Amino acid sequence: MKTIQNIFAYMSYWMHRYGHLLLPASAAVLTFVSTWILFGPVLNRSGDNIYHLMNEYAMANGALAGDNILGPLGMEFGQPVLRFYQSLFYMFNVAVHLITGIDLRMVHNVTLCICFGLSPFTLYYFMRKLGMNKWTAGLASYLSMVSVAAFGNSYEAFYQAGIVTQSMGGLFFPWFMGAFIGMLRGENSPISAALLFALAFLSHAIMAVYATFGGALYFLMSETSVRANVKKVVIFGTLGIALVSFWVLPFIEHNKTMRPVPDPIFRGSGVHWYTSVSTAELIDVASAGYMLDDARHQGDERNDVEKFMDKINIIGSLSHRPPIFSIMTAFGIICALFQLRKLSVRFLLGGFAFSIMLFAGPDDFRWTGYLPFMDKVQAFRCTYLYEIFAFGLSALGVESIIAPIYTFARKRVHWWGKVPFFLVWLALVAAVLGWGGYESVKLGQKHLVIREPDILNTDLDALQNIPDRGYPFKVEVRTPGRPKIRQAWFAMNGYMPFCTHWKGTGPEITFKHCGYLGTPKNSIPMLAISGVRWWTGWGAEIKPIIKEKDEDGLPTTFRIETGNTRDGKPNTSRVTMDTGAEQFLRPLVGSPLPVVCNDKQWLWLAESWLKTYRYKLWEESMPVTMRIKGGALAESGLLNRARAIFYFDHSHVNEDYAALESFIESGGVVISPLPVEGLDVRELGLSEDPWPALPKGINSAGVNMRITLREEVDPGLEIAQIEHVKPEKHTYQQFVFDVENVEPVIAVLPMNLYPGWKAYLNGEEIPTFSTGPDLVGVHLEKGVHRLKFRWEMPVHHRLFVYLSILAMLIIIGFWIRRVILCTRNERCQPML
Amino acid sequence: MHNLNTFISVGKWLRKYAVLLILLITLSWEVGSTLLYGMPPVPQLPPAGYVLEQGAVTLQWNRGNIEEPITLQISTTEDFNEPVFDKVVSGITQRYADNLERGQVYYWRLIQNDIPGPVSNFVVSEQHVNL
Repeated sequence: MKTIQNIFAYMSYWMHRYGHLLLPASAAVLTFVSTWILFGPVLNRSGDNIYHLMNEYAMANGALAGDNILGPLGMEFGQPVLRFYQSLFYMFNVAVHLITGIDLRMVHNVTLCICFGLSPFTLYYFMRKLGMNKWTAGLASYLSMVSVAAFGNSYEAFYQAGIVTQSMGGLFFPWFMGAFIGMLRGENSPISAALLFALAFLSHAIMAVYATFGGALYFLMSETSVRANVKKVVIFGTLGIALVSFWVLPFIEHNKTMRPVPDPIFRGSGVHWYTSVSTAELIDVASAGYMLDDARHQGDERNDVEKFMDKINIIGSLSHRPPIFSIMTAFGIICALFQLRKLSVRFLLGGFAFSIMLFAGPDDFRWTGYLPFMDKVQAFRCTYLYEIFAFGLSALGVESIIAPIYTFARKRVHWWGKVPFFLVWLALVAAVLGWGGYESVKLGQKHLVIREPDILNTDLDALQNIPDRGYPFKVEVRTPGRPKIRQAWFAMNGYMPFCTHWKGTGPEITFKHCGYLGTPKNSIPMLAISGVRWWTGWGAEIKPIIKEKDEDGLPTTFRIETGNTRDGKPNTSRVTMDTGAEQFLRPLVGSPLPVVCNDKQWLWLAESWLKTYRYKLWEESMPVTMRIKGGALAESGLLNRARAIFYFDHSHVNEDYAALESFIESGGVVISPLPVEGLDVRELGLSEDPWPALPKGINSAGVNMRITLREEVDPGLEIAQIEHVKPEKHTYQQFVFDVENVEPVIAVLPMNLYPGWKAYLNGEEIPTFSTGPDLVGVHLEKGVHRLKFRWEMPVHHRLFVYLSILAMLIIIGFWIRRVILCTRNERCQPML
Repeated sequence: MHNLNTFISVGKWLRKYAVLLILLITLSWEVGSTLLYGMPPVPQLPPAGYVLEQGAVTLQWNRGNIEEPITLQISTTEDFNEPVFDKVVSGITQRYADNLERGQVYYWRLIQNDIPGPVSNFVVSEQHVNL
């Protein structure tokens, strides 16, 4: 009896002291129970997950070949995948895979599941740092798994949208917020806060925006002394920026120069993509219970409000439930209004209001337009932010009811007085926990989609039988639509994928280029400039390609001998190949057209050039645009070969004046929207198209839409013999060719001219130009040459890398010093 | 001294609650006025100050939730005394390319029930080209 009493006493003590931790632990367990089938080398084909896995494979393959993983890789004409905004997830998984040799699919899945599953603990930590009661904080973390946000840390994002890489952000962002609050109170070190900021930021760029907003909001609401925190904030800010500089500074440069049209304009057609949800629309979705629940009104019919919520929450939801979470949050808001003395309550309420206003954006709340990064905030990403505050508010509401009942029950003297209140309390607790647990499991089970590789291997086997066409990589792969699982599977097995997901962050002109290649029948001639031949898979697109014939009436495609699948079944219907040219390096005849313009103008000019000249790529009477930086006209080496110049950007006209003057005197034509004092330039009117202004001899636009496909009539190929010198290891950052051309040509390497590409002709460096749709181009005189293209990381990018490494070393040194000092001083408590 | 202490106390109180009050009042005001009076149209794209480098401009707005005709006005002056475009529009976009001048700032707004809405603007680049 005494033993039982002791056990009971111990359990009671343990529950009292640590019982609240069972809440985030339960949430983690429920998550792992739902995601256990991902703990292996399986393909989670939900949403964009497969695309991120494909990027990781590109990085891993590049690293094995000795490529710089921060540079261009074999994705979509040489995109640097680490400029995508989820770099930490990629780098971590690739590093683990390369070091341990574990299947990358498994590393990817396990990282994802662990980050997602453990995130309730960091949310608990954040809520406790805010000052919330430990049981309330625990409840908030438990409820976090019922989120329906399509972005951020939720099952909906995990499975439906497949935006999985920010599960790491869901782990680090609350952790950072807790550490930041602790830093302001003197409990946490600014150095550790800086590291957590960097981890959150690198997990997903939007986390940096949230961190900035959240941190600033807390600072303004708290009674923190500004003077006492200046030093800490400076250390935090300096280290934080230094840690992320290797990624963020090139990322900013990348977005500024390669995506010159602002995101809201570029995606203007998706009017609700960026923060622009009106208050009226917000009232509609909030009052119908959609913002925090996937409430469904009428049976299986989706009403307009639901459809609208799906639109601004990125994708249609799979699960539906009554607006329980909405009611709990609304009740929590009411309770919060009576507890405003507590900083935690003020922050939750203020944060919730702020994130709702963020959702609407500058259209309704003009002052938000002055906040930094506002033009980068997308509506669906705001869902994650207001849900975090909603978790806290709903937990607060529950606490407001059950805490008094519990207290009241405890104070009853007689046991028969305690029981009724205790039962009520127990029922309420069980209802909340039971509902939360049920929702977690239901959400998890609803969304998981695993794809068996056998079907994919059927098509992969067909590709294995394709003969070596002399490309520096296996073959380019195209499948209909966005990065489908087949295309990703091919890419993971070493085939170059067709255009994928880079509309979000890649160079716009490359995306438009891919759009032209997306309609095979209309874009067959564009393959000359893209330098690769494409493989179609199946589906509706295959039929027009099979029927396509060239001017001699011969089919342009043939069905390759594909053989059998691994199961012994024939797969001849799976792929076809067109009879295009074999060279990867594409020689173009035509007149080089130097263009001096800003980034926006180049985007439009290159797109216009694609549309105008894609059927004329073999003709000598064609201008080949070659972009030159303002001020560098004289060193370009093109002026004695060109017959006209497009001079659109006059920022460096003084530096180019002499070259322009000399060019005009030698008979060249300079076409410009503005006059140049003292020079006879061809001035363009406001509504005048520049192409017709070119000299007739180099402007074949609009003449003869004949498509030439056969190699025998392709003068570009006839005049040049090109052999790719195979490297020891396949790499996307160096290409060597032996070239013999009987006429001057413009040689185009079908890689995007990402900063760092250099060309060497017989050992000497020659200028490279952004040619046509932003591909790497050089001008070759007739003769026999060894031409080498190599990507070298720009010097300032390298400096950023060194800066980040230095910052990391400082942090490690600080911790080591701290540990040593603490081992000598018994009273010392290491400040994390 | 007593007044100074009172002033400091009020200041501290304000610091604690000011941000929250501003946020709550702003949000409540917007929600309340939307429920009572409805939402008029609001310019959305291009953002104010956008530099048009090429071609025409496409103006886009949120039409609000008031079921009344909307008039779009475009002017080269802020007072809209002589607008270069003044028509009733349907939908939420309008393409404009008439009489664009390099270096000129254009102001635009939406009017509903004779009440002019917020004004946005764009400028045609000095180096504007038509592609």
